[in-house]
Amino acid sequence: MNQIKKVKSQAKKVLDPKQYLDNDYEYGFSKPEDYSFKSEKGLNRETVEMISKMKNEPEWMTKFRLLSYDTFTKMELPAWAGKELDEVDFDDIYYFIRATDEQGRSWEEVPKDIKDTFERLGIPEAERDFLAGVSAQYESEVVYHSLISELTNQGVIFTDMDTGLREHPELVQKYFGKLIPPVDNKFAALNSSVWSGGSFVYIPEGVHVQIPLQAYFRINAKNAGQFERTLIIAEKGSSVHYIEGCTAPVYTTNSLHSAVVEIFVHEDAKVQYTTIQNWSKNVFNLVTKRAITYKNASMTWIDGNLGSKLTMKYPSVYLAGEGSKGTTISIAMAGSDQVQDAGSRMIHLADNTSSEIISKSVSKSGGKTIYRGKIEVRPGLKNIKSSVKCDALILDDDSTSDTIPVSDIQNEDIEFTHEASVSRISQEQLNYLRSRGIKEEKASSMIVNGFIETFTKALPVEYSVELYRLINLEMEGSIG
Amino acid sequence: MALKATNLTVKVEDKEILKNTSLELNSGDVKFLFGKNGAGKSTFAQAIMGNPQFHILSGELFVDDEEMISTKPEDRAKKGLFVSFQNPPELEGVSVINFLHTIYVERFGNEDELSRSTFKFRKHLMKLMDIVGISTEFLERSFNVGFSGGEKKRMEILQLLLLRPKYVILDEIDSGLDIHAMSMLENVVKEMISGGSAVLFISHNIDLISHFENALVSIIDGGEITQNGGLELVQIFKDNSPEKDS
Repeated sequence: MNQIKKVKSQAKKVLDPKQYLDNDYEYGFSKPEDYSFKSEKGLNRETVEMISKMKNEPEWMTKFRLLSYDTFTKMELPAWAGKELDEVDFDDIYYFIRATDEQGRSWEEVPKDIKDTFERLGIPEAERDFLAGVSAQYESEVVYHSLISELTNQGVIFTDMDTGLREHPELVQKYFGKLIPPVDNKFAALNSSVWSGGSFVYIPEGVHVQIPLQAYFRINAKNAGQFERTLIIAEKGSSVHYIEGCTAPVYTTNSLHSAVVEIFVHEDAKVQYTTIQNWSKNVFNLVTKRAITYKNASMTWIDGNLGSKLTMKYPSVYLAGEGSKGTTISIAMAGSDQVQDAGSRMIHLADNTSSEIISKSVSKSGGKTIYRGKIEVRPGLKNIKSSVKCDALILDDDSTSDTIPVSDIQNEDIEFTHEASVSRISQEQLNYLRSRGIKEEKASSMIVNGFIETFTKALPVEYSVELYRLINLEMEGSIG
Repeated sequence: MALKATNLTVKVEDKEILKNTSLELNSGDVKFLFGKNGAGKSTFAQAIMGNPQFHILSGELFVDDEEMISTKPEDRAKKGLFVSFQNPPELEGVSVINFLHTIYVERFGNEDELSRSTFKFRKHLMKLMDIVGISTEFLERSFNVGFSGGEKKRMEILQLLLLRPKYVILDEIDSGLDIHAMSMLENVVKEMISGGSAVLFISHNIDLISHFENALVSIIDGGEITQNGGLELVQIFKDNSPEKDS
């Protein structure tokens, strides 16, 4: 109860409109670089070997990395990708940076420089007051990690991926790269060869983690690629909600974020994975996220994309077990010079499976949003249900929105619905709100926040507050 | 204390709808603006509110001796102006309570007791909802989404009670209201008048006026106010109007 109260009081504080309007909110700050180690720019076999060696990894991982590197060099960029991807210069990126040599054990031990940055983002308060366990990734390795002891006693593992590999090698080897093999796509191959950090989560049979597990990721070095790797295993009858939030300072050169997230949802288990992505507007955010559901399992992706220069991300669920369920609720917001190419894929591989995709996009100031989704139903399956709903809100004439849905349904026993809508903020709504005393800018924010409400409702309180604040900030200056 | 519109000429798109229209509304007034369809009644309301689609080409507008034409609709609302909409829009994802709390804070500021306490605000609002005849189940629903015509109108009346505006224009507020709601509206208006507000009804419903003893009447025709007076004008308007209540 205490935790809930605290979050509520925090929510009230943030929701005070005066506070955030007066607040000189700017994510464009950065800290002087101070790294104990930095690899050379660009990628070759030696760099890959060195990364593995520095981390003292088992041989199979070194081999896996090298094989992935070979795959990466051979693979082409996806044929359907826009020309924006051509701007990614793979030779102009640092592939490994260690921010500090030691990993922080408690908040007090985290270096001041890093702590200051987190504090300016408002992270520590949420963490101290609410979070159960945090692994906040600063650069390529985790610097801070904590987990409350009850969970540990129940056998829950929530650690950074490097530690996960060191301490639970068999478990990692069993699952790592099995759902998203390096050959899946060029960026998965890249991640597989140079991955560093990310989270390793293991929930034993029957354990329900009541509080969300949260991790923050950020990039803070010029051309620092961030290649975190997350693996979540929910054993039979277990449940967990994992939250990942991103913010990053603004730099003038392009950064690359290419993550891989694999989730195994065993029989009767439930996993929800929530992301609010707010990378600075120069980051290429190319992420492969995939889950597999076994019998009667359920997987939910809550996926918010606000930042980055270009995001290409399509969280997928492979519905492999009978009676399993996949859900994606996503929002994408694209402003000036931004492309949000996002969506979801649901692959029905078993009887009585159901999937639902709700996708909302907002484009403004010349931004471009694309919904790219796929529903696939294998032949001969019985009683399949699938619904897709994508709504786009376009705020001005310079902005665009596309919907590219693909359905590969070789089946008759399916209940399939697909709705799509494109709308604009109506003058009537604006006039009405203004005539009730609400300024035009705030009126627009209100309409946009209303439009994405389905998504906001799915978030824990402090995240919905943060999102509300971000939307208002995004909307500032977008009128007139 | 008064709202004074003098010689307003108003254009919508390329069409001049109001020509040198003058109208005065003093504190405590109940006034009815009668006119045929297309006479310029709603244009008058929207122009007074500052709707940017209605361009005021010439004339003056003062509220309590303050010039209004150069101000934005949101500023006029803060000065105590209120126009009910014939077709209030739906606000998907914006809950009734969120909307009402937001406009309350805009009107009375952050320091007001009800602005600061969502709990007290909710309690206060529930009382008002009871008066207006809206179930409190509506609080969490998206504003006006899926509401009936009558419910939408009740939402407008609820805002009146909540915001206590000084100068109120009720544009066809009575259409879609049943007999009970009409009597509730009458009570609300009477209470507001006794509190010093002024109310201008834009209506086709001539029966409504009989409930207000000292009501004033203005007749608008072809974008111009042709007559000002009292209840005696009702009969004249009735005789000249081919329209029936609609």
